[in-house]
Amino acid sequence: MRLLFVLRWSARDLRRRWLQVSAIALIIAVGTGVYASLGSTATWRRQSNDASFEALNMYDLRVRPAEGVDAPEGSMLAVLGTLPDPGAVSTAEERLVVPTPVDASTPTKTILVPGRIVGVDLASGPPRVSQLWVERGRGRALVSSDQGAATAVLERNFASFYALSGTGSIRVAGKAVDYVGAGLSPEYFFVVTDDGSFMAEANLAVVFTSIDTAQRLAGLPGRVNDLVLRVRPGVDVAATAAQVEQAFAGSGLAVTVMQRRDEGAYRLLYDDIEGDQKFWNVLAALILAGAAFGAFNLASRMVESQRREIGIGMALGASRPALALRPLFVGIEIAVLSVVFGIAMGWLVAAAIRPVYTTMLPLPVWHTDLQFTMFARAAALGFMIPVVATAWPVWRAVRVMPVDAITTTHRSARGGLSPLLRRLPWPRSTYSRMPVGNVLRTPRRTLLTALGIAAAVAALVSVLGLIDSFLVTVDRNDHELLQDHPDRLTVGLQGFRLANGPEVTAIASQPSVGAVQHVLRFGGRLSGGDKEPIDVLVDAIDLKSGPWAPTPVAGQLPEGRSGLVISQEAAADLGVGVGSTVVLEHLERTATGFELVKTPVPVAALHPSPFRMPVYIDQSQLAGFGVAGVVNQLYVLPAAGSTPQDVQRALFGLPGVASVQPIAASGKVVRDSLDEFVAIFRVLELFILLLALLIAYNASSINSDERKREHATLFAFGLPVWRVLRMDVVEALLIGLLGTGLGLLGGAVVLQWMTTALIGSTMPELGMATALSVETIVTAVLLGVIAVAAAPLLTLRRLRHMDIPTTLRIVE
Amino acid sequence: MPTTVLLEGVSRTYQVGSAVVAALRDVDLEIDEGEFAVVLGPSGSGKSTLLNVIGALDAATSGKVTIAGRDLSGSDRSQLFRVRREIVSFIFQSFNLFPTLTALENVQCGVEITRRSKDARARAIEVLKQVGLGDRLHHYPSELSGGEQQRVAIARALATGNPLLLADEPTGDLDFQTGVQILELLRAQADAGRTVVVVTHNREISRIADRVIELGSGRVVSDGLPVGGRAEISSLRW
Repeated sequence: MRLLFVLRWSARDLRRRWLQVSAIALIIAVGTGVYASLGSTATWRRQSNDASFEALNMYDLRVRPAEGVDAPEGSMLAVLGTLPDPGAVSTAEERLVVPTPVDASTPTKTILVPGRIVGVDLASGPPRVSQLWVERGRGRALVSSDQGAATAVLERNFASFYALSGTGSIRVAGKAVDYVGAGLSPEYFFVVTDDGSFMAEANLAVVFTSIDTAQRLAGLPGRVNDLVLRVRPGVDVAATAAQVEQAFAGSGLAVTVMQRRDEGAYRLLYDDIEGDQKFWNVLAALILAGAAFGAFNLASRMVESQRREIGIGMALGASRPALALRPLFVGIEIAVLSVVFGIAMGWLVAAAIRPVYTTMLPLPVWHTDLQFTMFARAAALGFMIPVVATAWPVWRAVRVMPVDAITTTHRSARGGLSPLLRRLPWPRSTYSRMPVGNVLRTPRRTLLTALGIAAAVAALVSVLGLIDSFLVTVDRNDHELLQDHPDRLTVGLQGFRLANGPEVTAIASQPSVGAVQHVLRFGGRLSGGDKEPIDVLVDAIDLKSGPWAPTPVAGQLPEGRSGLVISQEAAADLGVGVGSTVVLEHLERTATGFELVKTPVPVAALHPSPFRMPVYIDQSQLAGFGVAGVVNQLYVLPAAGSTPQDVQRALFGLPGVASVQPIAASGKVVRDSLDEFVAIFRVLELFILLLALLIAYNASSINSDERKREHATLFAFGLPVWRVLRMDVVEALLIGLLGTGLGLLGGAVVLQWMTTALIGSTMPELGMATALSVETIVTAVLLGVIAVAAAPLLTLRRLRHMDIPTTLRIVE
Repeated sequence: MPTTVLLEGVSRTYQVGSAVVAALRDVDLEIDEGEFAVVLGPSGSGKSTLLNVIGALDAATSGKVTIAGRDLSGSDRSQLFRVRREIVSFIFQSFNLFPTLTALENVQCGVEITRRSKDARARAIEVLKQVGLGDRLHHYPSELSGGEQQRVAIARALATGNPLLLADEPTGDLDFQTGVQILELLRAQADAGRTVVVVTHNREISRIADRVIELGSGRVVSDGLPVGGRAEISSLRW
């Protein structure tokens, strides 16, 4: 056969089946489009992070004394002068960073949150290292004339969370401050608190102001406690860090020298990309697999319907390659269409995801161009899938004997699992059994359709299941933190205070304050077993008689004795259990300051918090650390008749109080943050739904074609349209049930992998629960069963307008 | 003898592009209960259209169609479905059996659709035995010969108990011997009081009919006894 002839014939096939061909192409396009757009997000984020950190000149090194320690202004800069290579540093600036309570209440909303004053040097203009960026319409940046004035810039993530305007008035450390803008700074692109909580914008108000104003607000005139610096291009940052560390060691000021990766915002913004990308890859692969199964199944069925024509061609002596060309051209036509649709679909998904990312992570620079490499890769996949999907059944079709191809009887009537039907006691009516027979007769085809649906359902289940798992984890955390006192508050103190000192006494004597529990919180590192050491936050509290104590799920609380209460997650990560001895590395007060010491301590009990950071010891053990009678936090219960808000108002502005926060707020922050993240999933959910509907519709449409003689016969015998339609619906329902069952199972497996392996490697500090809510299962069932079962309803018009006599006379 | 089929001035036209094609033109026809009528005619003469109109698969463009006393003129879709369910049973040239159902289930299906018998299965077995397929009950269509498949199709039509059997080229796909067996079955139905209308282009078959209706260009060109009188089935040759 001449190529032109075959092409023309194939074009007629295309015209006759344009709807099914378009639907297959669209199915593949959904898969490749999601793949291309989700695959692009890693590049978007990496490029945007690089550009944003560079645009605001983020520090290369940051020097921080221990908590509560400060130094005279100029002294930290002076230390840099003693570096072996002072020229290695291009720019350096001192800052004062102190915790403080912030009252950003508006006439309609009470906003009393922990905050942080960041005092920057404005003497010679705006800060040059870790600059501030204020978007147009959100006020202005700080300028030289703000030096010493009661003006500030409010951190933008916080301002956005509470929908604060670009300018306004707040109270910082009890004093009025006008904020002139809402701005972003590299250390707060992604808000992380000192105790490791991330997406914490609801819970941390950072106020950027001049260093003089900061000193005045904090009551630390002439003092600084932070140094940020940039090294010259080409200079080894790590080597300079070592020099700086050495120089400060010689100065007598104990400091920590941080590089960019030590900054939570920086590290999480980059690490998060890899973790997210792994997740997107799995999701895109699932959707692509659904599309591939769907395309393969439908292409097979299209070729199968040409079986007899191929047989006639064989009988006429046409060669196999010549016979294969026509259906292969259909595959190529689908492939070309898939590529075109795929690019459009990718653009559409990208357009839907783009604003979610730029809203969730408001960086000063966002690069969200179409990623040609990803799109080219997706286009190649979009081309390959239908070609392979067509080639396989074509290869099978041209290999049969012509007599088998031409036969008018149904070759597969006895095939598959049909014999099983006889064993089924129900349904009893024969025409009600026909849908079951159709499903069982061709198990391969049934399975392929079901797998397509299963992949879509699995993608949905894993997406929604991840949200469920996050929420269950937060619930578990809430449950442990709230216990019988959901109104408990944490009061952060400015530095270390004496437990019986005036500040703590003033707090305890407020009428709205009930029970008060002293807390000394300090950072440390725990090692033990044969695993990597982990960073922890140790709370020394009265485990016996305080209003709150961790719940021991294993072992017993070490009341009045030595021993640590660590989380189950920490125990698992360290490979230790109750009775094991671990080494706690922590700062200990000495006559001249603090020094790092290692203390072996037995694990007395495990608590159920999903976070591995919180560790508890009994207050009685503080003497051994040289810090007996010192506190930096308080757990407070409101007095009878008082609310947490009453306590917040009463304590706000008291000397020594840095923050007053209801304990329930932490769970709320995570929930609020999740809501933003869920927006991406909602976008994907729509495309997954579209994919499942397309697969189901196409399967129904082809089913309807294949069964039209059976339908016509039933009509000839007087079976009404609605009962025939019901049979089709039952058949789709069975396939939908199978697909949904497989999808739920597959989704649960993927979810398990994500919550353990994936989250375990990207967020090791979190012990994520694996959970599937009833809502998720219902959504999956609605999608996989109801939507799929309803697809045959779309063929109603075709059934109602069937030319029964003509259909009955068709000789297959 | 009561009339089963009554056609009065029936025409059926089709719009093909801009042209109007008349498949039936002003046909008057009356077929009585228990008659074995054969409709003859070359391709395009309108015989299949006639069968479809009688079987309520198609509606006449004009004229009046009365089947078993029910006037089909102006009937809606559900009324036509009911006529097919309660009065008419079809036998097709290409059998149109359900491939996923066994012989027994195919026949049982026909009974269940009419809801006429409480024990559809027993009725199906009985009729399949009548057509000589008592030992092939659980075979799928793909496991039966062409003649056996057509006998299953006939059994399915018979088992409904409907009074009017319409057969469209029932021997068209079969060899002579098998065709004869099928005709014997149909003849026996007419002898038992059912009305049987067979459409065929095979003039030889018309010899065993009670009545031969010949169509040409959509009109009845002749209607009467077979030429030379009704013959025995054993005398057929083709």
